[in-house]
Amino acid sequence: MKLEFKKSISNKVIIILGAMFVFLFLLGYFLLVGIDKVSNVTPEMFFFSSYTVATQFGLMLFSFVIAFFINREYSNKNILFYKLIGENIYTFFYKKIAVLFLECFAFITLGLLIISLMYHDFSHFALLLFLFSAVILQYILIIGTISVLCPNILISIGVSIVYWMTSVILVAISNKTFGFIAPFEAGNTMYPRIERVLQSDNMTLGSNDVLFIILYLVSIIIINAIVLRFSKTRWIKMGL
Amino acid sequence: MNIANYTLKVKGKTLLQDTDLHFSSGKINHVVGKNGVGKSQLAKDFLLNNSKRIGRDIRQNVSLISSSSNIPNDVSKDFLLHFLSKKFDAKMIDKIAYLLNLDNIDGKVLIKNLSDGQKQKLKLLSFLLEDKNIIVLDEITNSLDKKTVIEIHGFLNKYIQENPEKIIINITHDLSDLKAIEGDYYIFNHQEIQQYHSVDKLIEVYINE
Repeated sequence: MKLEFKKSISNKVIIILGAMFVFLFLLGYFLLVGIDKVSNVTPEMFFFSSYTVATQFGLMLFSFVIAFFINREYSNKNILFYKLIGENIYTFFYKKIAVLFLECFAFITLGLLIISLMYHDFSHFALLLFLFSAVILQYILIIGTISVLCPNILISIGVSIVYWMTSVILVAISNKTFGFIAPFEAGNTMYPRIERVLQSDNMTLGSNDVLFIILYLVSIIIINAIVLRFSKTRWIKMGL
Repeated sequence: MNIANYTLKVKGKTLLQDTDLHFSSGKINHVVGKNGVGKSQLAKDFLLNNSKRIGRDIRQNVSLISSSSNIPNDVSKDFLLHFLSKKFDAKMIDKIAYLLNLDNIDGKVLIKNLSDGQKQKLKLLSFLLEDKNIIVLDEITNSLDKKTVIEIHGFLNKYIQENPEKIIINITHDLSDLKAIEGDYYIFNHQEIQQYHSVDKLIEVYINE
């Protein structure tokens, strides 16, 4: 993990992630003020708008930095070095994912903390921390899995965007049949429920939704583990 | 190390056909050949086994040091050595670092900002720590300055003297390697790897090929 933290600092990945989250929250605010013409932005509106930005534009925003963090090791021909220090495809991948997620988690916490302090409103802090973390973890896992399979960053970003657009279209066609592919998508059933919770005094989502999100993330991790299982040789070949 | 009837095909092109690979321990086995004959593919095959002729005992006992095996360039020398010292014998690191004269490399500078020769030395140090018995060097002196090339030649001479159990395969098209480091001499010739006992004869074949 130490190596990955060091690399994320020297490659400025951590700074780019920080800038992305600043942009995400600012966009959440200015969409309300600029497009929706809201004159009095309440914390609930601000949080929900930022959450919408994260779910609707998050994959586009984060795909570059996540793909870069993984694909750079292929383009730099570093895979044999990872083997040298005793890593395998699983430890290589999960350490990178863990570092990206921990850094994102820190920025999400900081962002929510600052906004909550500005409004003196911490009523939905835990829920928002959970939701934002889940959304970002989803992106990290999906883009990470695609990146570990793709030989270069452009292909990784391209495939990630195609995946995202396909999932949005499928959910728009039928959220009952394809809802599981993109649970956070605005066209899905959970989205309006989250809006209702944020506008009410109710501090948490229903247990069904929480369970669904956890199940969804576990499913991505399982799919990811299967993909990695069958990519051991490919991992070395792409790194040579 | 002996591999009989070795054939290597990459993307339908036959690079080596029914040739015998015989490399000795305790000396540098130089393999020369012109660009495109398949030198680097041979080097990679020791790990990837595309030929299906490289046994597990060989694959698991090979260190490949080539342009295909880099060290992270987004950390500094100091960080790298400290990191490696947690995984490998610190005495061995000090010894190889001394032989490669790594003291004159600025420890705080990111590796990507070092010269090619300095990067190459750090790469040699890192991959030799694996302490594998078969070491495949693929064009490691390519495009390096003369001083660094001489230092690497000197290092390899000392290293093989101190580690006579190792098989070092030096794949190169830099003929100065052959003169500077004594060993066995092989050439890629008509889809075979042929051994020459005389450096001059091999150079003649290489030039007239």
